[in-house]
Amino acid sequence: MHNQLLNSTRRKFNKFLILNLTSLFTLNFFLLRKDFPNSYPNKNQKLKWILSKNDL
Amino acid sequence: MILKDNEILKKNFQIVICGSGPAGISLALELEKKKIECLIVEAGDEFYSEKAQSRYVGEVSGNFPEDLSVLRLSQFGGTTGHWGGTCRTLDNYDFQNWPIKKTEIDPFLDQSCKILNITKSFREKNINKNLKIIEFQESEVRFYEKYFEHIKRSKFINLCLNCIIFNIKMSGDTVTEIFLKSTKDISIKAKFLVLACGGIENSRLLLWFRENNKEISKNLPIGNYWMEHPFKKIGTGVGNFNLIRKNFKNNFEKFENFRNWGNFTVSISPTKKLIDEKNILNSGVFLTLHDRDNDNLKNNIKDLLCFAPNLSNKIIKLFNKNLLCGITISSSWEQDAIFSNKISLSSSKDFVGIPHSKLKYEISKNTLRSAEEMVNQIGIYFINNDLGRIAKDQLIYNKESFVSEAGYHHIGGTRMGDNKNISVVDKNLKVHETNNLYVCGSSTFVSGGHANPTLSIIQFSLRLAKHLIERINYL
Ligand SMILES: Cc1cc2nc3c(=O)[nH]c(=O)nc-3n(C[C@H](O)[C@H](O)[C@H](O)COP(=O)(O)OP(=O)(O)OC[C@H]3O[C@@H](n4cnc5c(N)ncnc54)[C@H](O)[C@@H]3O)c2cc1C
Repeated sequence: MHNQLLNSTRRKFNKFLILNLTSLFTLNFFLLRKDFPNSYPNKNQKLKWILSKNDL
Repeated sequence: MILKDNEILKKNFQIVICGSGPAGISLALELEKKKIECLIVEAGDEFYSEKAQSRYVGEVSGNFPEDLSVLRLSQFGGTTGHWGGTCRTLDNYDFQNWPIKKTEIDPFLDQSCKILNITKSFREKNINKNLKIIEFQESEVRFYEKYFEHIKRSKFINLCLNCIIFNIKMSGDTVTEIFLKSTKDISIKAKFLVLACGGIENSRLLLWFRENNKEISKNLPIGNYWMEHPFKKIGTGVGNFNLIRKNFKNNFEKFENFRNWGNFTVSISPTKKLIDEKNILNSGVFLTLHDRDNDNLKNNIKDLLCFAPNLSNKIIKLFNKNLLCGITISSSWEQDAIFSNKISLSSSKDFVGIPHSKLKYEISKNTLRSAEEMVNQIGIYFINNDLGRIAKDQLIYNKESFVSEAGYHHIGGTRMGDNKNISVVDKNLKVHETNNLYVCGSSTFVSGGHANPTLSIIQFSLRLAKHLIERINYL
């Protein structure tokens, strides 16, 4: 019983860790993205370019 | 001849014209040629005065600049005291919902161009099936400078300054008395009364006259279907300076350096085919090229390369050859005639007791859709001709309402038509169900197209002169 409990807590912990790593990654990504506008004035984030397939 | 208020009491006038802007003066000049005596009643003075201008304050709600008093001028010569002078005729297809065709005002174009000292040249050239480049003219005429001395010496044009029309008396369908406020209250009579007080005042006055005269029909949509030409930046771009210039180059007189906005400006309009196929409004789009040291260019390039990495080689090459330029796309375009966009009377009054104007104006989704379609079309043209790349501003692709950066062109409110439920004046500019009350100016336009209105206003004034001369000769 104790073992079982231990295992389940571990699994939960693992899950927690994975989730946390993912969110950290996402957060980092988000934070990095948030840094983006420092070199780009906000105005420019608001453009929608008309492009051809070959441009992409 | 300039008359004082007590002098006008002693005379009989065939025609009284209220307002000495381009609409009123052009009409008077044409009557003068036929030796028909008229009186121009002008609310303002020879020059700007705070007092006269104070009558132009008003309430605004919706998507329109707040201060109505800076968007027109109350003085001799009217708003031409500070207008920009850009001129172009309306397009044939702008007349789709009018009771007349453009051919009805075409005969007056020559004379109108002479009044404005401009060349009669409004060329256009299709650049593909959907877009055309168009030519404007720039007038430097201020009506005060050109016509004040002439009118002062005229035997047939009488002018009374600081004289405000504030009411009329009607008997049946006829205006029998005109009430003026000058140094004192006076009343005069005339065979015909013409309101030429500007694109907001014409509605304001007619609404006020109706409150005092049951003879003016309640059903007339006075003040409704009001429009303007919003001016707004709608797009941005990056391109090859030389190629763009080469592509749009032509021999149109006022084409390059239009208003010196940038290094090169080209004016683009939709063709009738595009307007019909996409069901959009008419527009004038101004594409201006800027130097590479323009602040936004660097950021626009970075932004573009984020989305279009394959363009980097091309852009670096252009950059190294000093050929890369920034592009600004601005537009001034037609609005739909919407009943609820209107001038009404405010609860506050000016110093002669006329209620101030109250303007309610909302930009429609169709307005924003039309602007987006134009940027799309220009973007595609740029791709197909390898000129650069164009981007839509957020405001346009999100279809966000905005307040116009201009607010200078005041259209509708006393629109022309055959159907009395949706129009105020008939095709001769006579108020429906009246015998001798006329309105003249852009308030009578059924649609505004995209062209600056004053040239067309003058064409209509000259046409009205012809009609009034015919009526006088018939009497
Ligand atoms: C900043 C600005 C820039 C513009 N640029 C351009 C341009 O580039 N191209 C273009 O085509 N148009 C332009 N316009 C618009 C142009 O000025 C108007 O279309 C034109 O002046 C309208 O002529 P109007 O005679 O109908 O009215 P107005 O010129 O406004 O004249 C009306 C006259 O009536 C008088 N009046 C008003 N009420 C009374 C009353 N109760 N009794 C007696 N008199 C009265 C006023 O004092 C005024 O003198 C611009 C407008 C502004 C504000």
